[in-house]
Amino acid sequence: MHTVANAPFTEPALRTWIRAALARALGLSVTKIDDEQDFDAYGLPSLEAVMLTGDLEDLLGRPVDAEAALEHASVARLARHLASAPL
Amino acid sequence: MHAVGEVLGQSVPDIIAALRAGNADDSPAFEMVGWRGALSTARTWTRADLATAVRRAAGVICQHTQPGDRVVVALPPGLDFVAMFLGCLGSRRIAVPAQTPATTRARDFLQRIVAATDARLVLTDSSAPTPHAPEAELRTPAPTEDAYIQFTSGSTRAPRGAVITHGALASNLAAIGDAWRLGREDHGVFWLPPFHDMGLVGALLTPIAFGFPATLMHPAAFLRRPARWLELISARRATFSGAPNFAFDLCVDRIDDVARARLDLSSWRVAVNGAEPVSAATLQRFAAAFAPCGFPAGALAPGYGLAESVLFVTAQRPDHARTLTPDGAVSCGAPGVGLTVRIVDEARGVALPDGETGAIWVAGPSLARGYWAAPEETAAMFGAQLPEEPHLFLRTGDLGFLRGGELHVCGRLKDVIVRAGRKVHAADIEHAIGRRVGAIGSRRTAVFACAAPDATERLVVVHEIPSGIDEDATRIAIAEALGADFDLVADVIVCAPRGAVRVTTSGKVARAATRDAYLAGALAPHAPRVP
Repeated sequence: MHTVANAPFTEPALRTWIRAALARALGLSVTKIDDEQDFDAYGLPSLEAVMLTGDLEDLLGRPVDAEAALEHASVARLARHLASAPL
Repeated sequence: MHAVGEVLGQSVPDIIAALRAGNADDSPAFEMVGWRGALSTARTWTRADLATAVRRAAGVICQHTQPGDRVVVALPPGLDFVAMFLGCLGSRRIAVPAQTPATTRARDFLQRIVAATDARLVLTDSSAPTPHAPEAELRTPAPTEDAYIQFTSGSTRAPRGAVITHGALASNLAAIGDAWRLGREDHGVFWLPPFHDMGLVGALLTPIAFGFPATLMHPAAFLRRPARWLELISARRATFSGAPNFAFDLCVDRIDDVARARLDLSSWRVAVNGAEPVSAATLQRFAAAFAPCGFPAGALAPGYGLAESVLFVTAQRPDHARTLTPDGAVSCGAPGVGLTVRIVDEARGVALPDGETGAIWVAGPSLARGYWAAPEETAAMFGAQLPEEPHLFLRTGDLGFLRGGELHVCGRLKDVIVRAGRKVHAADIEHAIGRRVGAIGSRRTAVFACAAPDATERLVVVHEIPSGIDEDATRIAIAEALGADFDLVADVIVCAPRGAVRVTTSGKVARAATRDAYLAGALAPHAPRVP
């Protein structure tokens, strides 16, 4: 994983990254992930959702709310939230 | 070593009496740390600071409520949570610890417990007292008064709140301090959420009661980088810390060699592993992984407890000679001071001898008064009796055996499959299936019994399967595993996509929730209908 502080992450780039991270956490193929489907529907434990936001912090080089992946609980919604959040 | 009387002299009513008298000292009480890259101290409180904060918190609480009212404390983990909780107890309000309503799920749960307790006040982040809040006189509660209501975490059913009296709390704190010989020379480090029994009683109230400082950090700080927990223990030379089993696994899996090389864990005297089933493999992995950091294996203290007994029932003491029995079961140690544990055959209503597996029953002065506003459930859970024993027992719903006076926990009662008089643990069947057919990806399996329409019990296996895998071949392999390893036949084998097996927040298989989903026909799309 690359850490590129202050690099502009577009919403599609964030989607790709989150989709890959989710697939890794679930042991699924990336092609099986539906961006609109709730993380809950995949059986993602909330502890793993918090860990995911930690990895996103490393990726983005800025603070990400620990509850972000619980509140914005799909690939599409989390990407949209992160892309629109003020730096 | 503490005499029990001396320990009881530091119960919460006595702490409140001390805070009330204003004679709290300048020794350190709490430190809250933050992590923005590196460790930083966000806030520190001496015992005098704590006393002031509790009087201010009580001032806010008294403005809005009457004695006996329920007050939900839903602040984020941190020092204000401690102040508000003790502010309730010191003003004879009944505290209801809860998760801060940051997510939809937490808001739903909060609404349910506010309704269940008819709470008059909900304290969230924005309600932290300002420096100008009036201080209130603290009152010393009687042992028979209700101190707080501990809700056990969110199953699909209505939440159940265990009502803890001041007497029960004092008694359980005494058992904790006695078991681990806690005293002023100790130092605690914790990241546990304060709205669970382990975080509330173990991490916050135990240090206050025994007069030692505790360093706290946010649970998310640990989850995002588990090394922070051990780094904090190392930096503070902490002696007392603990967490559920999964956290010890996370440390082994996610702390790299560079981080390990910087750790000195030689000060860690009591490493509590509790609040979920303790795994022998986890204890061994953790001890081996951190021995080069000076971690003393004898510090590992597996424990057993539940909110209905405040927190603590049994635990291993420090420097316990042996952790494992020959058959690999983990000893959770002997009961604490004042607590009695019996292993019971619930069908016959008799206690079982040493070595035999049955239901775990607990009696003693630290039991909850019952469940809030639920007399029938209270009678069913807290009103159990044994021949020739005078006191009432709590039916814990857990299964275990005693060996040499030490408790070994086997699982939940309802997770036992009974077939032809034989008892088989669901977890053992799941493990065997995983070994035989679950090698691809991180597939999960849940095994449970459920009632069929004709009132017979069906054995159901739910197994997650990636698409593209041959379902029939998988079913055959599962059936073979059951037959060869357990001499059992499954009534239903469901192969379903990822997500079918429900899990707890920490990723453990939740059999009851999976069973509920199965019975509701919600294991779509591959799942067959309920037969």
